[in-house]
Parts: sequence; structure tokens; C-alpha cells
Amino acid sequence: MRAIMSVSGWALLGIMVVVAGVAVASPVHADPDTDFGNELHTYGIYGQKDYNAWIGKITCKRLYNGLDQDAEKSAKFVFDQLPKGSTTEQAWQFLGAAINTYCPEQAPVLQRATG
Amino acid sequence: MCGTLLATAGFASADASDDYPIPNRILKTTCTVDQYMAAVRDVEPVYYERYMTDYKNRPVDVQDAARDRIYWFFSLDYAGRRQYSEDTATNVYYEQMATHWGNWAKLFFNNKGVAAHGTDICMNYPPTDPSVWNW
Repeated sequence: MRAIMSVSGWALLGIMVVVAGVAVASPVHADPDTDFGNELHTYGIYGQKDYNAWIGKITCKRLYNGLDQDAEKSAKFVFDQLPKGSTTEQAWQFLGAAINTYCPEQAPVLQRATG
Repeated sequence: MCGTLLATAGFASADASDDYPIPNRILKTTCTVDQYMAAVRDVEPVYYERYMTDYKNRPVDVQDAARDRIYWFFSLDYAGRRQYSEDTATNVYYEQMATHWGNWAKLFFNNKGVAAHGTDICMNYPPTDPSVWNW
């Protein structure tokens, strides 16, 4: 699945996730890590709250400093951190949630992936 | 007399092994420091993040010394690294860097899993990449 996923497949998933992410965007709460974890649960992504928050923040850092130069690279980074058996769709969902929660200024990266 | 010598030799050789205190993967890898760090940045990002936060909180002269020291270690061949592992295991004062920063080599020496994951893929990264120290 992972090996045969084409570049266009990643981009297509990105489009679907961005659209879904906009639809479920929720108000800002006092504890972003908790909100982030709760949003991940709706995608079937569990694991330790602190770990997922770290990955979300590091994902943003990699976008800010240019290590990940587009959303596809970012989604691949996320995918590698998720438990074995996770799907590429979940990686894109995680990425959308991380950007919404921790670095909304990076939203254009997602929009470029859909363009 | 003979028994004493044997006992002493046995005790000394038990202090370090081919996997302790420095993981075997680090003793044997042919990757550069930069390659290994870039790999860990990708596959053990939280561990890397914590190490770099610790690094950045050190005075500049300590940062410089830590970088120089790990490049020196990676310049050694397997036998040299193995001897260094023995020296640090048997003499707590052997590594002067540790008196300035106890966890100066944590990213490299302290976690077998991190060492394994990093050395699995480090050869796929550029040999020189100064960005690994700028995080």
C-alpha cells in the first residue's frame, strides 16, 4: 500500500483531508494538546497524548525551517511516526489537525497541495 | 597470585561489552555524525528534539566542545571506539566533556533503539549537513 502509493495519490488524500479538516475545525480551547488528541481520536489515531503533541509541534517546526518543503513531505514524516498499520489518510488527517492546532499560518502549505 | 590476577582481569573485562556503554551499532556504523543526526531527526524526532533543546541550553563553548568531541569519536575506527567505550566504562572521569555536560552524547550513546533506528538508514543522508546542529 505504502510502496505503491503514487505522488498523485498523496495529493488526492491531501485534498480530501483538507476539505474534511475545514468542516470539523473547532474553536480554540485552553489546552491545545488535549483538543489535538481528541481530534486525533476521531480519526482513529490514539497513542500517548504528549507524544502526539510533540509530533504535531515538530511537524510545524519542520515546515517553518524548511526541512519539509511541501505537504507531501510533511505527511510522510507524520506517517513514519504513526503506529504500524496506520493509513496514509490518517497521516494527512494528523497533518491537517497539527497545522490547525499548532501552526495555522502554515495552512497555505495544505492549500498548495490541493492546487 | 594467579587466582588474583584472573579475578582482576575478569572483573575489568566485565565492565564494558560490545554493546555497553556505547551501543554496538554506534561502534560499527560507517555513517558520519551528520548522517546519523539527520536520520535520527527523521525517525526519532522527539528524542532528537529533546537532545537539541538540551544542547541549545549549554554555553557556546560547551556546544563547540561537544560537537568537536563527537566528530573526534566518529573519526575513530571500530577498535578505537571499542577502546573508548571501555575507557569510559571503567573510569568515570575519563571523558572530560561529561563534567561540563553529563548528557553531551545522549543522542549517540544512551539508547540502543535510537542508535539502531538511526544507523538503519543513516547512509541515505548527505555526509555533510550543518543543519543538523541548527534546530
